[in-house]
Amino acid sequence: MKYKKVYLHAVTFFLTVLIFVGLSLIVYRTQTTFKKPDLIKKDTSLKASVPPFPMELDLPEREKVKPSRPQDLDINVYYEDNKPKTQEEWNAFIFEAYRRNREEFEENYTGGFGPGPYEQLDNADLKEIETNRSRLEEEISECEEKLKTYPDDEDLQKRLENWQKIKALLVAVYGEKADDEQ
Amino acid sequence: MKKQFIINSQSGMALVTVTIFTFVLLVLGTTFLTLATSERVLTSEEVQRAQAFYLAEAGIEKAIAFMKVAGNEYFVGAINENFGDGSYSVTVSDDLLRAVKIIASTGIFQGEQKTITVEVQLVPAFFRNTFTSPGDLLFFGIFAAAHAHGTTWLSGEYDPSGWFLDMQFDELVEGVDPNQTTLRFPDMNGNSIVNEFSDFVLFFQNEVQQLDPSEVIWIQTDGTVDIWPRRDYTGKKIIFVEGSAPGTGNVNIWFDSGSWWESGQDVTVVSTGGVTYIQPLQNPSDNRLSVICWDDFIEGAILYSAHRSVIGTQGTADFYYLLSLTQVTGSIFANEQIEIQEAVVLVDFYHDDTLNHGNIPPGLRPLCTNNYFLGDIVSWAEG
Repeated sequence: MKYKKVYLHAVTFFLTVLIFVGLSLIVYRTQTTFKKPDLIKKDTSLKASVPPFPMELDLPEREKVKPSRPQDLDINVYYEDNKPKTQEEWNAFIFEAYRRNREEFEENYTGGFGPGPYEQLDNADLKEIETNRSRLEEEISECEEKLKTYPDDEDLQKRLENWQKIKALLVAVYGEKADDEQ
Repeated sequence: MKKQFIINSQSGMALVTVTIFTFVLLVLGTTFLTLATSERVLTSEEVQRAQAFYLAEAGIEKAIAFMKVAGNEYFVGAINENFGDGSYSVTVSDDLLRAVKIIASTGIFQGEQKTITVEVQLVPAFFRNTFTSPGDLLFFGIFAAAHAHGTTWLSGEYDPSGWFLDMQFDELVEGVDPNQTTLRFPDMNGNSIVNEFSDFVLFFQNEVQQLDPSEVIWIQTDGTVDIWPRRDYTGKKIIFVEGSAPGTGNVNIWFDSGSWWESGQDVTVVSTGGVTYIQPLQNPSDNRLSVICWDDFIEGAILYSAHRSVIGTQGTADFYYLLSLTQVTGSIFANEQIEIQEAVVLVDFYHDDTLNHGNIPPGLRPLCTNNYFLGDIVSWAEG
């Protein structure tokens, strides 16, 4: 009699546990099943190195860019009326710009990327420079000669001006050949 | 006596137990069956969604492959195709101001839909080439050698003259349709005419506004501006010299601008006049100084010179070299012609391959108009 009561209680307990476990399982599975599974391919060849669309942010309005005056930026500007015309004028003009800009460059440049442009010019082979200079002078004379025949040829004028600027740079760095000989 | 029998009787207990047990088993069985069924349905939906996703992706790939075929670059519209048991529907549109092509593809599989939208960088067509011009490429010189690596596209022809000349081309294409070789600025002033001087000015006025003020130098002058290597120019993206008329606002660049202090500098010098680049020397080599001008571009060197630049002009691009070794890496396009004049020089013109992947100089991104090719995918979104 007592034995059967115990048996009944044991079965009831067992069933209660079973129902509890069963219901927990159902609740658990239901929750996990209805979560959105992440089956979609995340890494495709198309988007491998591609960032997502930028989020739309409520950014403050950007400051408008305005033109600056060259003198405020310490930038040299010359105009048609004060533009150098002869080789001597170019020499003087470039010499001054070269001196000023070299000074500023050397004050700031720490040598992090090897010799600067000015130092590279200093280290150039002087013999080679003299060859270049004489070749340059030939080019300039050739342009000047042609301009006598075609004074309005703008291409020739531009070419001459280009050579004059380069010669003026050579003069600024290495001086006049005549001076060297003296 | 009877009452006692009822209370103490054990008969029927097994039936109750079995009934409860069976009921519980029935509940559990039904529940598991329901779960299994719904799981199967959900899995099937996921598979359909995944299929729809891959179909959308197939649509994107199809559209890109289609537009990479020469002549299809400018495609804008829809592509609808069946693929396997599903289909995809692709729409392609342009955003020329941002220089991107927008491709939206929706994959459909058994009622499920997935949409993918990608943006593909548009790269101006001539950035693919080392030299591009609707005119000729003239090579004058004495004891001069040049090598144009990469591709050269000319609507005109290569024309050498001089003594002991040797110019090599990896690939020279002459007689190209001028539409493919001409640099045109879009119709910024809305008068239906492209590539006017005012379009050029408005184009760069708009481009400087896309940047932070600290990244821009914008000078309005009819004079000639001298640019020497200065620390102030470090971090600048655009130096815009704006004159009031074509041919004004010229620029002389001596050696470089501001690349000596930092690596990775990338600046574009824009001029409404001409630009003369004298003795270019850039350092370190991952820096870039590009030039876009309305008038002629002139580069001159008499000593070793090396630089990385995109150079574009509405006029002529002239390269004068004397007794020097020169290396130019980039892309050069000139709407009139290209002239290389050398004496005892060895010059190498390399193409900057990073341009093919959308590494476009500041301010030049929207330079595509109707002449571009597809670069890399720059954004990807699923929705």
